[in-house]
Amino acid sequence: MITRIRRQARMYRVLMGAAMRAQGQYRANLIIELIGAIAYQGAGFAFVWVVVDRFGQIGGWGLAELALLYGLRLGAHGVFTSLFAQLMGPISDVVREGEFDRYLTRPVNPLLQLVTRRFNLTVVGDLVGGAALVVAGASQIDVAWTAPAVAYLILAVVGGAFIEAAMHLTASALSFRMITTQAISSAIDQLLSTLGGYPQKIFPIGFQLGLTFVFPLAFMAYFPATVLLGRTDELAVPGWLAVLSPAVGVILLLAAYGFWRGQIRHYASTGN
Amino acid sequence: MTSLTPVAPSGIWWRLRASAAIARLAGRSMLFYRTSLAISVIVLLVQIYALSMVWTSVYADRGAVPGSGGVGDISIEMQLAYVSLSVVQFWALNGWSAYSLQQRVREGRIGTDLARPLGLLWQVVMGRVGTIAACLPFAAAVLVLATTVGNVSPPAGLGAAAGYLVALLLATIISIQLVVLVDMTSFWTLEVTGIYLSFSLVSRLLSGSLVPLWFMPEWLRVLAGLLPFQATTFTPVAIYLGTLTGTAVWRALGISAVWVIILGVALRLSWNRVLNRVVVQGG
Repeated sequence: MITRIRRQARMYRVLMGAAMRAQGQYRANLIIELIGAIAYQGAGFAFVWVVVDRFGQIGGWGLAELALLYGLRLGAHGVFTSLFAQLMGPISDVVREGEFDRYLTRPVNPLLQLVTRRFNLTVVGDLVGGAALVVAGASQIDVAWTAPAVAYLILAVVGGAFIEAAMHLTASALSFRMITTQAISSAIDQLLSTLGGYPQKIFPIGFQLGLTFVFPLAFMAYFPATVLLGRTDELAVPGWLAVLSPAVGVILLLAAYGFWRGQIRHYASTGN
Repeated sequence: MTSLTPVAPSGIWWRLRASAAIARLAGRSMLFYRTSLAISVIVLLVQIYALSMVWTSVYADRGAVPGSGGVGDISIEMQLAYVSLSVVQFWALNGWSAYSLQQRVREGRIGTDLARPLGLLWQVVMGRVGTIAACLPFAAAVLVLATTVGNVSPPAGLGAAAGYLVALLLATIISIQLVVLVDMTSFWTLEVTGIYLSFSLVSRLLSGSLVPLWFMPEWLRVLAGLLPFQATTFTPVAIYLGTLTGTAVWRALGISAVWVIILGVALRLSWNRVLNRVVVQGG
């Protein structure tokens, strides 16, 4: 078991390294793409910033706290896109064009081959933007940044990335039965960026519960942020559930992987 | 008697028919992505809902908040109606289209396109018109559904309705001009994604589609007022809601009209330069 995992990890490094080198060929465009990626994600925070400039707060959260919240989500999104960007749609093409046949004949996990198919350097923009917001927010807040707090923050970002991956992996698994899942993936992506930047207490309780148990966005940044800021009192769920957010990420990703494994059996190759 | 050599067709009727055909094709290619369009409807509704909740939260129990720029008090109903209208309008006018110059340059189709009897610039503009037209029924559907998640109100009056229609027409023209101008950068560099994304931030923020100009910090409001983006979203919606009235309406419409002319000239000038740079890919 352990040797199998180690072997897959080595394969991941080799394949991802190749994908990164391939992307490195287009260095000239990198800078402008990076600026673009930051600008794109920046629009959401620009809104938050302008509103707070006028009204002082959103849901009782000040600008620094909102920056931390936004940074956590953006950072998680950055980690997700670094590792799993290929889950956001390309699987449909891979299945339709029969590329998946090749994956099945090679001695490496098909999912691993899928996620290392290509690497997009613009994810660095999300990572840098997210880190900058977290640092800017964290330095303005009266929170003792002890080693456990920082460790929790990092775990929360990884957990958030896992939840996003679980959502897209579930959507990808459907492409063995549906012609295209591109629209589902893009809806997930847009919903996350539309709803992810605000403290969810501004929503009615039913909607908050929906964002916790149906579309588990709350675990991605909002819950960990309330834990770090000592604000779990405002939640519609018990505080310990919020603390467990990183673990929820791991569980959801494992569950999604199980679903993927189940759906692979429905793969029927492609017609001519 | 029939001519054996093909003659380039001409005449105003022919031009109109060809333009309409291009717009129809671009519109139809949008409808090919109707699942994505349907998903957009859902995403737009969620966006309207989320933004409405943010505004409701910051208004707290105040019924109205003073807006800057001489527009007086902005009631919460008016602010929520602004959100629905501006989100939908921005989406319809700036939607992604399968008919972009970028794709044509990248795939080398630009060569054939240039050889067509109808000017390429005009082809691209009509492509945008068709794309926007295809989005309209979906935009209308969102506005109807938005009455359940946000707020939509009828125009402030007959004058406001008339002013809105004129402003909307100018907004459409300016949006098309801006998108085509950005699209033209693909003649200089093939990777325009970064430029598109930066443009999208600037236009979303300065058009007033994220926050209306009356709630912007002073310096940002002044900056937005000096640029064409506000004419694409803020002006029509503010006229519709009756926050701009009397001479302010005429002034706003005048500014929009001036932008149409300035951007039109800019488009022509850069187009002439662009044609000297065309590289046709593939062979």
